[in-house]
Order: sequence, then structure tokens, then C-alpha cells
Amino acid sequence: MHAAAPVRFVASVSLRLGPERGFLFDQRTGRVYSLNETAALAASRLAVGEGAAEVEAALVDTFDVEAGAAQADFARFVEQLVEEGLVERHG
Amino acid sequence: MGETWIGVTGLHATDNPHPGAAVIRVLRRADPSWRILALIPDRLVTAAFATELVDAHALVPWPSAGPKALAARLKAIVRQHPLDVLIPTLDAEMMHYASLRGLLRRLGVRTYLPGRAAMAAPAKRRLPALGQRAGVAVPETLVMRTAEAAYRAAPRLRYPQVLKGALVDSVVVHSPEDFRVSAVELASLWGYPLLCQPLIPGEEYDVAVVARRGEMLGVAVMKKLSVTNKGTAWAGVTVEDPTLVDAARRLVRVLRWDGALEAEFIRTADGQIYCFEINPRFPSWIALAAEAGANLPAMLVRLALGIEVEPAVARPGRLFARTVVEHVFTRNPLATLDDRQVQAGLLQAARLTVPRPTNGGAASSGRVAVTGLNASDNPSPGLMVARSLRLVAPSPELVGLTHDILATGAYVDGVWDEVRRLPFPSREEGGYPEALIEHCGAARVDCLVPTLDIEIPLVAWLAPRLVAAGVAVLLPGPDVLASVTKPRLPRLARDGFRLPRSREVGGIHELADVGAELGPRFVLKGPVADARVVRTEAEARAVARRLAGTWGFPLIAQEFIEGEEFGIAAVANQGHQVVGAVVVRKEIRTLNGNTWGGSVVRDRGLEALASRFAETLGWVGPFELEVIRHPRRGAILIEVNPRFPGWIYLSAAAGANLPWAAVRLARGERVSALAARARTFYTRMAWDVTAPMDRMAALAVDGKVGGRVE
Repeated sequence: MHAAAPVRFVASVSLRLGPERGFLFDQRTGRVYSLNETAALAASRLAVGEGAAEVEAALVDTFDVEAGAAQADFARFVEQLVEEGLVERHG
Repeated sequence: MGETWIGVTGLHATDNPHPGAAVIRVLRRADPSWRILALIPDRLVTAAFATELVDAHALVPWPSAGPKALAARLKAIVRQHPLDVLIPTLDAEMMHYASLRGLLRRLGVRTYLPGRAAMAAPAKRRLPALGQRAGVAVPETLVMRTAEAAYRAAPRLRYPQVLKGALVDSVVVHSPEDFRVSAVELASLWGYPLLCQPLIPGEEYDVAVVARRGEMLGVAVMKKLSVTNKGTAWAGVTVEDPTLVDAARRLVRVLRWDGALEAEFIRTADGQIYCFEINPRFPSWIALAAEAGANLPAMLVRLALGIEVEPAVARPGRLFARTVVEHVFTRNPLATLDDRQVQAGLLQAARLTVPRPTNGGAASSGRVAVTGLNASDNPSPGLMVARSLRLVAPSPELVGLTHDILATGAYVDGVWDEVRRLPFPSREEGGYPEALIEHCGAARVDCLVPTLDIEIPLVAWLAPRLVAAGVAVLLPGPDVLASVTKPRLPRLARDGFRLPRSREVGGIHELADVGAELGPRFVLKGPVADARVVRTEAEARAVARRLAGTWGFPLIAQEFIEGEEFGIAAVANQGHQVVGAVVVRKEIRTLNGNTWGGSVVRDRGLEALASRFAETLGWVGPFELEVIRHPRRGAILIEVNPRFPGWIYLSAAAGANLPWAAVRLARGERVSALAARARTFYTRMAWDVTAPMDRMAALAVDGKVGGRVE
């Protein structure tokens, strides 16, 4: 299985995502999360249902990073989202 | 049916606000026909001055007088005035009211309280036993009934600990010496027993409940987003947390609770929850619950009146931010409150029509940026400067500049036209100067009023660039500012100013010498802010460690001066002439030494001191002098703040709108001498505003929000 399997934000999470930063709020826990521009872009792509490959490609295009680095960073980001209970894996 | 009169206690709404003001405001919202009788122990209770909340006042004994004295007074009140429902909200009096339930019923006064046994069960010292019965984890709790027990316990504990008074107050302590000093301090305020619990790291949540015979009818869960150094929530958000609701339900059921209750929880990183405190009353943040759809105080009143109620659960995602509001009067309206009467109309009789200065007939008053928006337990002046400028006809447009998305003043409706977020002004982080100029340009402001100590030197340094960008500022030069910093203040003695003896403290080892030099009682200060009076060497060491933890060494030790305290706010023009000076006698102080109320005095000597200060130093712009008048030595200058004070709205109310004078001077206009009306009285009270979480998100992501708060 791909490390960054498609995920979706759970219903209790509200997002505000801009070009330079992002903000997540989970109304079950009251936790707020600040996202840097990379995470904000990844979150915005996840929020519209894009899969890992598409998100990683967008990171490569936007931030001029190696595909391997983008893949690793995105996988780590998704893991953090899962650990915090902000997303659930599809299927 | 006649009017329904509701008596409410707990109206001292300062840096650790009692819940009464929040209870009243949501009762008002639930049924505007309900009338409110404020039951207060003295004439300087800050929320008792809230004209929009209180219909009548009556003095009641302090809780320390006991239930008999309270009963006698309540009987007298009921003989004079209708009283249908009574809601006590102070920890120290809850047991008295539980004892008096029968008497009150016979007097025709409804309450909705548990009996004495239930009221005693959640007391701090009994919480572990209660937790066990309810299946809710409670931190290990040590009860110390005497000073000796506290002294002996100190070296045996693992630190940090939370040391608590039996009913109220707490402090986090980090060492045995800190523990002993704080124990003496807490016991001197609240007596024994004291309690301590290990500090459990985690996220804090409060659950507010209304219950009937152990069944939860209404509930709101709030996560703390920001707390004061006493652990009081100053911002928070409602959440949907079934685990905490279930824990609160079990506690309420075991207690067979009737009425209001607050349970406080910590959730650790591994998800374990601990209930560390239960309060047998509404919490001070209860207005948030009502804003989120669960008006628990109104539910309680209806239960007390025998009216059936619908269960209510607060919706998640509503934010509260605690700010301050001020009430101004021609004189202290409660000074004449008779201790044997119930009196209505006192506030109206001293109502003040706040003067509205004009801008000389121009179509617009321009656009002014103001910093220092955090209106917390020790409020920055920005919100009060803005409220002063709002009085101008027509008002200038106002742009709030904040470094912190949790600056509570950013969430106040109707004050700002726009709020923008800046980087923190520390040089290390960088970006502040450019961002400040960029934001001023983007917001089209033509004048900037900085109000934060830490940024004023930076703004003074940036002044030429700001002026070149079309932004007027009124500040002294960097050298003049540097000459009044706390460490350099003693040098003003050379210019003939009377100052307290003081010295720098380079480390803990110097404190014994300081005591020998200044006497056992002296004031320890941080280099920028914070001050505490210390009375013993051990206390000095504990306080110095705390202050140095925030500010580092050196600290400043200052001779303790006994006497009446005054603040002098003033503005000097570019020729170093004071155009207006307002002197306030500080009449309501918190334990932390902050002023929450006072009166304008016309004192030629103190006004002249402001003029001499500006002329001698070559000052330009706003400043505040803090003065203590010693009975023999006269007025002694203890501190200079290079900005407006937090109480500056009083100047506007008293007819000398100093913030507007500063804006006009900055723009190069002439300002005639301003004089404040003597005896004008103000009180400040803590006031929660609420907003959707979207506002915080927009400030974090977009860097700016509008002035309207939904």
C-alpha cells in the first residue's frame, strides 16, 4: 500500500487555507493547528479529494522540491493528520 | 404577574472575575423583563457599576461573617424589596446559601441549590473520594491543615506542584522554598487547609452543568485556549467532547446534584483525563455557553421558579475572548449606598454624558492604527485608546494591529474597522519594521499610536521611515525613551525628581544585601514589566526566580513606599509642552497591583510634575507617571511608562481626550490645553466577547479581518 493513501478530513474539522499558511480547528478536541505554506497546499488538495500522487506533483511544481522529498514529506504530514484524528483513510 | 426580581452575588469582575456579571448578562438576554438585584459586600465591586446589568443594589456581609449574619441581612432585604430568585456564585458563600435554603424558601425566595451534604462533597479536599465513587481520575491530592504541615511537606514533594487555597486561588510552585513562601502567602489570604496536587501536563477543559436531582439537564464544554498565570481561562472555545460530558454526568449523578456546577479537567497527551477541581456554581465564562445555545443561568432560574425546561447542549466552535469594558460616572455612584437599604437608581443618578470632541468640521477624521490589543487580565491600552478615539465626531477609522491571534481586543465588535496581524516585534524574528510600514500603507492609515512597551523603542527608531510613508507618529526620540527605562529611572534624581531608593539585582545571591539596604519589605520588578512586593528574604528569592524566569537578570529592587497611589496620563507636543494631564487616584486594585477603578483628581502639584517631566526630558507624545504620595516625603515617582495607560478612556470621559489630542498633534495640528473634570469615576470590568472560530482562522491565515464580529 502506498504510504500516503487517500484520506479525507473528518466532519469535525474546519479548514481555512491560504497561499502562505493554513489553519485547522477540530471541534471535538478544541485543538487548533497552524500550517505552513507547504502543509496548507497539501491540505487544500486533500480537501478537494486529490490522491497522493496528485498532491505530491503539486508540491513538486509549486515548491521546486525533488519528487522523493515531496513524497516523504507528504507521507509524514498525512501520518500526523491521522495521529491527530483529523483525517480518516478512505475504505 | 409582577416583575421577577433575581438576586445575584459575585460581581467583582477583575483579573480573576467572579461569575455574577456573566450570569446577569445572559439572564438579561433570556428575558429582558427580569430585574436584577446586585448583592455586593462593598461599594467598589466592579460589575456592580454596569448600568446595563443591574437594576438595584444591596450590601450583604462578606462570606467570612458567616451564615447567621447573611440570614439576618437577607431577611431585612426581603422586607424592603421583592426578591423572587437568588443565584449565589461565590465559592466562599455557597455553603452559607445551602444552609439557608429552608429560610429562603420561607421568605419566598427561590434557589436551586444542593443540600449541605452534597455541597460539601466536591470540596477540593474531598475530590479524590468523590472521583473514586464516580469512576473519574483525580490527581493525587495532599491536604495540609496547618502551617507546620505545609512546611514539612515541602521537601517531600515532586515538583512542579499546584498549591491551592481550600476554596479559591492557586499557584504553580517549582521548589520547596517556592512552596513554603507561596503557602504562607495563600494561607494569609484564605487560611488553612491548603492543598497541593502535582502539575499534570495536558490540555485543560471546563464543563459547566445544570442538574436536577443528579440528572444533567444542560451542559457546555469549553477548551481553554489561553490562561492567566493563575490558570484562569482568558480565551476558550466550545467543543463537542462526549468523554468529558460523560465524566461530568457521572460526577453529577453520584452527587445527586441540584443546580449549577463546573468541573475542570486535564487531558494528558496519552488521552487520560483527570478532574482536578469542581466548583459548586457557574463558571465565569458562562456567557459563552449561552452564546453557543445553552443558556444555563436562565435554565436555573426557570427550574427555581418551577417552570419546565428543555435540555440544552452548547454547540461546538464558539470562541470566547475575555476583554474589559469601562463604566464612567460623574462620581462614585455607590459611595452613598446605605448598608441597611435596597437602593435603585444610584447608577442613573451619577450617569455621565461622555463628551464627544469634534475634528474641527472636516469631513473625515482620517484613519488611525493602534497597537496593543490584548485586553487580558493586565490589559494593554490599545482597546481603550480606540474607544477614546471612537468618541470623536466623526470618529476616525480605526485599524487594530496585533502580534497575537489571541489578542482578545481583536474580537470586540464595533471598535475596529479592520484588524491586521503583524510579526512579533522582537528583532530576532525579523520582519517587524517592514511589516509595520507595509500594513500601515496597505490599510491607508495616516497616524500610528503604539501602546506596547516592547515595541515603542522600535517605532521611535522607525519614525522617520513611517513619516516618509505618510504615517504620523508622536513619540520621543530613542535616546529620550531609553532614559526612562526601569534600570535607568534612578538617574532622574539628578534632575530633581523624587524617586525611591533602588538598585539592580544581578542574581539571587544579592538579595540578602538588597534587604539590608532597602529594608525587609521592598518591590522586585522585571526590567520591562511585572512587579511584586516582597516581605522576607525567602519570599524575595522565590519571586526573583519567577521574575527572572520570564525576564532574566538583572531585576530591579525598589524601596517600598507607603502612601496613596496616583497615575498621571499626559501628552506633550513637539515643543515638550504638556497639552493635557489627567490625574487618577487609584481606588480599586487587584492583588497583582493593577488598577481597575479610580477617580480623577485635580492636583496642581501632580499636573505640574507631568509638565516638568516633559520639559526636562524633552518628551514628545503620550506618557504615564506612576506616583505614590508619601505622608512626609511627598509625591515620589515610582515608574514612567512611555505610552498611554490602560485606564486612558477615563481621560476621554472626563473631557480631556488625550488619545485624540495625540493624534492631532502627530498630524501637526494645534491642540489647546485640555482639562479633566474632577471626580469623574471609572471602573473596569472583565467582559467576555464571543466570535466564530472563523475569525481566528482568518486572522491567522489572511492576516486581517474586518471590524464586524458576528
